Amino acid sequence: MRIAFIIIAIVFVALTIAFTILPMGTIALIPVALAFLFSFFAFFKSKERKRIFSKWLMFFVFVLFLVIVAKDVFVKDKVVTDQKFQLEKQNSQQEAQKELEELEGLK
Amino acid sequence: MKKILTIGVFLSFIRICTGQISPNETLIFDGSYELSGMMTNIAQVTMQTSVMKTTNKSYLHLSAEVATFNKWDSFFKIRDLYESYVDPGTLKPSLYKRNVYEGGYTKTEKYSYNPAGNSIKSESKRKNNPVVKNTVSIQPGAVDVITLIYKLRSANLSGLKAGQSIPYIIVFDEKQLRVNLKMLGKEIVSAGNLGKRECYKLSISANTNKLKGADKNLIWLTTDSKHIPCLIKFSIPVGVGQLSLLKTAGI
Repeated sequence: MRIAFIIIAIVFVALTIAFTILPMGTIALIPVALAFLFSFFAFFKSKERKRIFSKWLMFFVFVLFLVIVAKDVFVKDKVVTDQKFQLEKQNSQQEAQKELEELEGLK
Repeated sequence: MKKILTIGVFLSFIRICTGQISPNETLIFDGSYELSGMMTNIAQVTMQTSVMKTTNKSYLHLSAEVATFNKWDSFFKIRDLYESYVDPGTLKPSLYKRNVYEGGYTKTEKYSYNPAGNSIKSESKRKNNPVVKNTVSIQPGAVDVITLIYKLRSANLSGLKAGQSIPYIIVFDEKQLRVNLKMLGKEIVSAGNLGKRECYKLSISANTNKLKGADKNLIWLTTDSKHIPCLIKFSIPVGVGQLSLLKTAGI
């Protein structure tokens, strides 16, 4: 049972790492909570001399939790100015002016 | 005397139609999408108005720009631009343009409205396919999706009781759609830098499978004369999302 809990915890740790790298925001809190829960179960089920791995796992999960929270608090959402898109917008307006004048000519 | 009265009535009509829309207005929204049951910010939506002048006329340029936040750009970049050029008095559209870039998929669309308002000449292009030209008959008064938002903002909503609807006809993807906006009541919602505002809550329905569920597509407009959209919730085949007003300028 202890081994099963450790494996499940490791799977959720891997998911947490993936979610933290990807821009998933606070969704990463779901796998991190599950990883903590299963590493705690593994710790609880382990005999005293075999608790070291689950202890380290819980510590690692806690670090990941801090990273997720820090990313959410300190990394602000911003839109990067896209030069190509800005140029397309300008061109679109210039073309629109010509097209509107053509339409006025139809009246 | 009769002439003066007629002009007076006409001028007050124009004021009613456009009084709420400033020509240099900017509304910035946070666009979020439901992922694993949680709303995640993915894009910024900017709605702007400006004046476009030609040799003979002046138009109100309405635009809506969708851009993903930089953290999403490497995974699924979106840069969409919707534009409409309308008469500043009546909000009657003359030209509509759509330029879509969504994760590598591109689409451009252009509708030139016939001056009589009963047909549009459309030009559309998807990815690397050739340009497709078409003429579509429309009902007079049919507008594009961008103009619809501003038309709604110019409408008199104070007389609407809960359960009553306002019908509109829009042209989207070269098809005419009947859109109904049903008044659900009033609610106080967060309106970005404007603080908390009392809003009209309206449900959007249309004869299309692109909007899912009953009363799942909603818009909250301030009860003041500007009818600023503060919150928009949508339910589409690929998921659920919302636009929350963040900043306003030039109102």
